[in-house]
Amino acid sequence: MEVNAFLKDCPPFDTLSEEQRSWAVSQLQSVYMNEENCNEIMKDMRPALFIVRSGVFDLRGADGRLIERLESGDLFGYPSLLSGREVVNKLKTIEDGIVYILPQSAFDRLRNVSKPFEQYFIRAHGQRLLTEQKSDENDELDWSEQTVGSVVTMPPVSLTSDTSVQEAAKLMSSNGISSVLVVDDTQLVGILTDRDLRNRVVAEGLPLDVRVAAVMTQLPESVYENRSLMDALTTMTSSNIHHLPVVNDQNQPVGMVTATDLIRQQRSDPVFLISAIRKAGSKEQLVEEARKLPDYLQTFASRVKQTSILGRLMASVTDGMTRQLIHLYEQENGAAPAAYSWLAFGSQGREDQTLSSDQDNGLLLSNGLTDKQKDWFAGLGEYVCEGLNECGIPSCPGNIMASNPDCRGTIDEWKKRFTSWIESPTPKALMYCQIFFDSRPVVGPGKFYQEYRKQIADLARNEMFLGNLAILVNKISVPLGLFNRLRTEDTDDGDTIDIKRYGIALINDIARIYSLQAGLTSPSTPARLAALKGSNLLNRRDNQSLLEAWEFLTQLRLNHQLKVWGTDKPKNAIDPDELSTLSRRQLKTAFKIIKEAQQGVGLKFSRQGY
Amino acid sequence: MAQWLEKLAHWYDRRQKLKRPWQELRYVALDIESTGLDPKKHQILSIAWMTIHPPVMHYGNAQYHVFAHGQELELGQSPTIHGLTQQDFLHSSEPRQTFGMLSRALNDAVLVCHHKGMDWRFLKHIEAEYGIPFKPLAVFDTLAFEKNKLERNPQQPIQGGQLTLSACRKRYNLPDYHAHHALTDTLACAELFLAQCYSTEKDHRDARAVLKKAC
Repeated sequence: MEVNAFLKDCPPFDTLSEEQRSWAVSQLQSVYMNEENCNEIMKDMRPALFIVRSGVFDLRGADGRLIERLESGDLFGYPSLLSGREVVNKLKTIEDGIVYILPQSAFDRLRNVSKPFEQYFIRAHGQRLLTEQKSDENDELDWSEQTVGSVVTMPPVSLTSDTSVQEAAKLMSSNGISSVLVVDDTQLVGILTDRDLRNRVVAEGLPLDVRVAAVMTQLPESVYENRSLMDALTTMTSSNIHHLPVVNDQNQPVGMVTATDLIRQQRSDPVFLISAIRKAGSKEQLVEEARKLPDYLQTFASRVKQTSILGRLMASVTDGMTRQLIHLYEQENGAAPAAYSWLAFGSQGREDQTLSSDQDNGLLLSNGLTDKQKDWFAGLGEYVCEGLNECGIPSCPGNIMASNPDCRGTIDEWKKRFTSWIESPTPKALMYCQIFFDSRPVVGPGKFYQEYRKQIADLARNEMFLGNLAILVNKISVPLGLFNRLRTEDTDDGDTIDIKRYGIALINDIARIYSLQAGLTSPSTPARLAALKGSNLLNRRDNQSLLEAWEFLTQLRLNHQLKVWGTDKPKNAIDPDELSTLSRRQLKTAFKIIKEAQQGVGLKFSRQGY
Repeated sequence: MAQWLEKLAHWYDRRQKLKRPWQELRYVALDIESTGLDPKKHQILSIAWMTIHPPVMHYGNAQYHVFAHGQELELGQSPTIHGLTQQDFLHSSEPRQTFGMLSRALNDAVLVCHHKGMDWRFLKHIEAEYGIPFKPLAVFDTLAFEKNKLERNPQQPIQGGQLTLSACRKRYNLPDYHAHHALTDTLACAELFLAQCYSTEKDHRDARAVLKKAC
C-alpha cells in the first residue's frame, strides 16, 4: 500500500521487517496540516513521532530561532519521545501537507522489537546521524584496509650485525623462519634471508664464522606498521621482494610481513593490477594496464564496505605507476646520481585521490648536485609526469609537477619556497600551502624525507600564517541556505552541489590547520584527525564529527564518480534530488558539522571570529 | 405515525448538526472498485472506508474488503484487476457482515467520496438487496467541490481529465499516489477532502455551507 511503500524508503522504517512495518502503518494517524491547525495538532498529539509526507514546515525553538525546515521524509518530535521532556518547539506551515503521526506507545513498541530502529533515534538525537549506514552492508573488514601492524603477530626475531652466519642460521632454524632482521642500537640496519645464506655464503664458500654484516641486505625497504596492507603489497611488488620488515614511528622494527601473509589475506583484484603494473616492461605496457584502473575500481567498489578506501587504493596504484616509471627511466638513463625523494602532494599525498584527481608531485634533491646530475632529475621529472599523464592521471593545470623546475629542490630550496609563502600570504601562496603541506614520499630513503618534513613542519607553526589559513577557510560558505535547506547551484547539469569544493576540501583544510599547529607531519585527513585526539584545541566530539563527515562525503563522491564515469557529467557535483532520503539528511548534517568547524577555526586561529 | 415522527426527529437532528463547524462532524471516506458502472450487471470487487475526525485520519481503523462472489474470479489477461491479485480473493470478506459494519460507520457521519454518483448507486443497490440501510448525515463529493470551484472561473472551461482524483490532488500539492486500489483511493480522497475544506474562507465554515459547495 501507498503508506507502507513510503515508509519503506523512509529511514529508520526501512530497517523494520515487513511485518513490523505493516504493524506500524496500522498504528498511524494522518493529518492534513496547515498554518491554522499545526500547533494545535502538535499540542494534542504529543508525545509522538511526526513524519512529513508532503508539504513544508518550519520547526522553531521557543525563542523563535529556526531549528529545521521539514520536508517530505523528515521526522520530528522524537527528542521529547526519548527524553520525556515537554515539547517547546513551535511549527510554522510554509506549504500545507500530510503528516503521519506515530503515537508514543507504538514508537516504544517498535524501539523494543527493532534494535536498528532504536539505534537510529539515539544517534539522531545525539547528532550522530552520519555513522548510520545502509543496513545491507556487511560488517566484514576489508583486507586492504587493515594495517600492516594487525597481521604482524610474532615479535620480531632479530640479531645484531656482528653475529656469525652460523649463529644466524641456527636462530632462524630454531624459530622456523626464512628471514631475520638485523638490528643495531634499536635501528633496523639490514635483513638476512635463506636466499642470502644460499647465494652469498654457501655458494661462495664463505666460512661459517663470517659476520652477518658482510652478507646481509643493507638498509632494506620497510613499511610502517600503521600503513595498509595495500601499501605493503605495493612496496613488495615494486622492489620485487618477499620479506618486508615492519617498523614503528621511531623506525624501530616490530616484525615482518611476507608475501604469503598477504596472499592469505588477499581477496581482491587490485593486487593483480598492482603486480601487472610492476611487471610492465615498457611504458606502453604500463599505460595499457593503467587504463584498466576504472574498471577494476568498479568491480572492487561493489565488494568493499567503505568506498572511501578507494582513495587510498588510487593513491597506492598511482604510487606503483610512479615507481615503475622511475624504474623504466633508470633503465634507459642509468641509476640516480644522488639520493632523492619523489614527493606526492595534494590528493595523492593525502591518499584521498579520485578518478578525476590530477597530478601533484615534486622532487626533493640532495645538496651540491652538478648541472649534469640536475639534468638527470629534470629528465626524470619530465618522463614520469608525462608517463602518468598517459596512464590517465592528468597533468596538473597549476603545473605542480616534478617536470617543473620550481618543484625540484633541495631541503633548503624547498624551505625557502615555504618561507616565502608563509611570510607573504597572497591567495596564491596560501593555495600552494594547501597543496604542498600534504606531502608523502613515494620513492627514496625515509630518513631523508623526514628530515625535510620536520623542518617544514617547524616553519608552519606560525600564528599569523595559521590565522591566514583560518580566514581563507571561512571565505567559503557551506551550501546550506536559509532554514538549513541544501543550496544548489544552477548549472548546465541541473541543480547541483559541488561536494568537493564545499565539503571534502573544507574538512581537509580544517584538519590541516589543526595539524600544522600541532606540528604533525602525516598528510591524510583521517590520520591527522586520529593524531589530534587528545588535542586541547579540537575536542574529541568535534574531531569525531569531522571524521564522520569526511568519510561520508568521500564515499558519496566516489559512488557518484563510479556512476558517472565515462560520461561527461561533472565528477564532484551531486544532485541532492537524486539522493536517498537518508543520504540527503546525512548531507545536511555533514554541512552543519563543517559550518561549525569553520567557525571553530575562525575563532581559535584568526582572532577575528566568524 | 411513529415512522413519521422518527423522520421528523431525524430531520431536526440533522439540521442542528449541520449548523456546527465542519471540523466537529465525523466523516467517512469511501471508495468502491467494481467490474463496471451498473450495479445491476456489475459486481463490487473491493471496498474501503476510513473515519476522519478533522484533521485526523485514522489509518488504524481503515477498512478494506475484497469480495470473491462465490467463484474464482476471471482476471483474464491481466494478473491484477484494480490492483487486486488472485491471492487477494482468497482472503475475501463476507458481504452481509461487511455492509453491516459500513452501515454503522455511516450512521451520524458525512460520507465523503470522489464522484458520488457511482458509489451511491452501488450503496442503494446493496440497501435493496440486503435490506441494510445506509443513512449518512450528508454526502460530500470531492469531485463536485472541484467542479463548482473551477466553474466559478468562466474564462477557463473545464478540460477533460481536470477532475480526476489525481488531477484534483495535484492542485492542492498533495503527493502522487498509484490510483485504483480501493484503500489508496480512499486515503487519497480523504486527504483531498481535508485540503478542500481548509481552503474555504474561515467565516463560512459551518458544515452546511461547506457541504453546499460539494454536491
